[in-house]
Amino acid sequence: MRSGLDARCVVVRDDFVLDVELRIAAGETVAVLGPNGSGKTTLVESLAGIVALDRGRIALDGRVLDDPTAGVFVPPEARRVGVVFQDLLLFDHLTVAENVAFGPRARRRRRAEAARLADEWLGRLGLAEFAERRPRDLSGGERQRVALARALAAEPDLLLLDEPLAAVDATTRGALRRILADHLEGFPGPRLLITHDPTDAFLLADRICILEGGSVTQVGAADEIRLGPRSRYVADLVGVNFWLGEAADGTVVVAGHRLSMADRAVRGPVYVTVHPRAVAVYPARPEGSPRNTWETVVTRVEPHGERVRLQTGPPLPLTVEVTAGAVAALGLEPGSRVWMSVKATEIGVEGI
Amino acid sequence: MAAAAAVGVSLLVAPLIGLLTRVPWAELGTLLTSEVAVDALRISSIASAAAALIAVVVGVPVAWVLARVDFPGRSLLRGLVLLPLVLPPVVGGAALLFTFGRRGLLGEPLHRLTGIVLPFSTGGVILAVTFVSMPFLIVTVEGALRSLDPRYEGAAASLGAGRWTVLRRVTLPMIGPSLASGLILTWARALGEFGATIAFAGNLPGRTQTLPLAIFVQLESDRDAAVALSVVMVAISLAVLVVLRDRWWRAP
Repeated sequence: MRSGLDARCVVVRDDFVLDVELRIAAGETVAVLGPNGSGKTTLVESLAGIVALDRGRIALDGRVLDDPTAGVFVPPEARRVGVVFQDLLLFDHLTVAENVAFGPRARRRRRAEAARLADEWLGRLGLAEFAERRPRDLSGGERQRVALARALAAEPDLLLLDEPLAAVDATTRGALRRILADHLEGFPGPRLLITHDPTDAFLLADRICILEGGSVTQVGAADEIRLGPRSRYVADLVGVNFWLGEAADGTVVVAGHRLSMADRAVRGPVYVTVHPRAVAVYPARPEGSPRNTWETVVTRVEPHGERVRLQTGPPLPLTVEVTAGAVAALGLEPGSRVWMSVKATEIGVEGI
Repeated sequence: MAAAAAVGVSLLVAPLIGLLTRVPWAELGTLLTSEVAVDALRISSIASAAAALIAVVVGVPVAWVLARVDFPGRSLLRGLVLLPLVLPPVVGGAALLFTFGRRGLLGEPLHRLTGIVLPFSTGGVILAVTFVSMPFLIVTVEGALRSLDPRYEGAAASLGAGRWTVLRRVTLPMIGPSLASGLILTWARALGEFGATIAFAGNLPGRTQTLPLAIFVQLESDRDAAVALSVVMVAISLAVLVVLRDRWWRAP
């Protein structure tokens, strides 16, 4: 019976306390999104058994892995927690196939059986041709897939992905993200994705958990978090406007609305992002108008200290961030009619 | 500066040339197959191989403890374990005698319980050369373990590998080159050991007389034989340098 992950992880360091409650159902992907130093790596290490909890309890499918009050600590090798490490930690003294067969071998599969499993995973991840090569001779994206194959071949009950796309260059990131999405889908247990890239979190996760200074500051579906960020960090990071679009000849169509973009080479399906601070708000049609302008209505006004977040209505609902001074000067309130303007260079486009 | 360097180089190279000019090349085969030479070669081979083996079996764990286990007195222990590197070997031999001699601290009960007497036996030679040479392996392997990222071992554990599997399939292969060079250093040091051996195990032909001891004795009686055996050791030393060249001569 797969009941998923049920954890409260408390790890106390000299100058830092991680205290996180996390529930992930079987077949669910949760992204933990947080800045550097927020405790993401410590969270991974405590779940993997590399770091022991000071307080709390980790249970996976009803099996207790760590419970300091009960004196239970299951060592990493007995946890069945698969990890794709941020810097991969592939074994360069072994071939790619031996890396992938490492888990099955460590779990006492026969050599031939382990080799067969490794071949299967290499095939599934399109790595068959690299089987006899050393990981160091592969490209970043290929190495990343080897790390994923190695973790999955060990048949874990929980899959942890620590910044799986951070080390990959932008051109392969999109393709790799799709591969990751496919294999996450095929993995039956709970999956935890650690990232600082909101795009990864939006596209791969069912729920997002914001980690700041060792604590969870917000949990929710991608849209809930994007539209209602509860902290400065979240607002800056995930409050970004985000759509799937179709690009061609220097324009991109999102939600039925056509935007000009600076990159004329991109075509086909794309992710489109517009940062809330890249949007200018005017009381009337702007002079010498940039190409991306439209009239709309303010639907929500949310002060965040010196900055104010606005939600705007059709034709293209946006989250916009302006100064408190601008809100006062323009007399903005829900229902105000305004003109929006976004420079073509501020339309972020990334091929899928 | 150049003149001083020339003096330095001559100091190091001239003796080697001096030795090679005295080699009786024609009789080398006969000299190296004499009973004394064959016995010395045999005992040195056994003792140095045994020292290398013991160093792996017990020296690697010492290196692992020093590199990976944090405990009070670790620095002190490291100092004690590495002391034979700088201790005059003859002092080491004397210390072994007081400890493992027939009336020594450990030698007395050992003799009483098992009848084994280490001094003046081939076992004594092995003990003496191991005492002097094992720190070379420990210091090399400890350095390698310290520079190995322990997270590789964590990654192996997360794949289901227990401690023994991690050691066998990840740690040892990853420090393999350092282990090999530490082993060669240890073996070469054991092969050349003189002071501790003669102090603890004596100089009995066929039992405890190693190559260096035989050379020392033959210098008094049969110079040609001494030179022939010396040539063997020069050849071995050169071979060690060739094997370790990547480690020591890495071009800047």
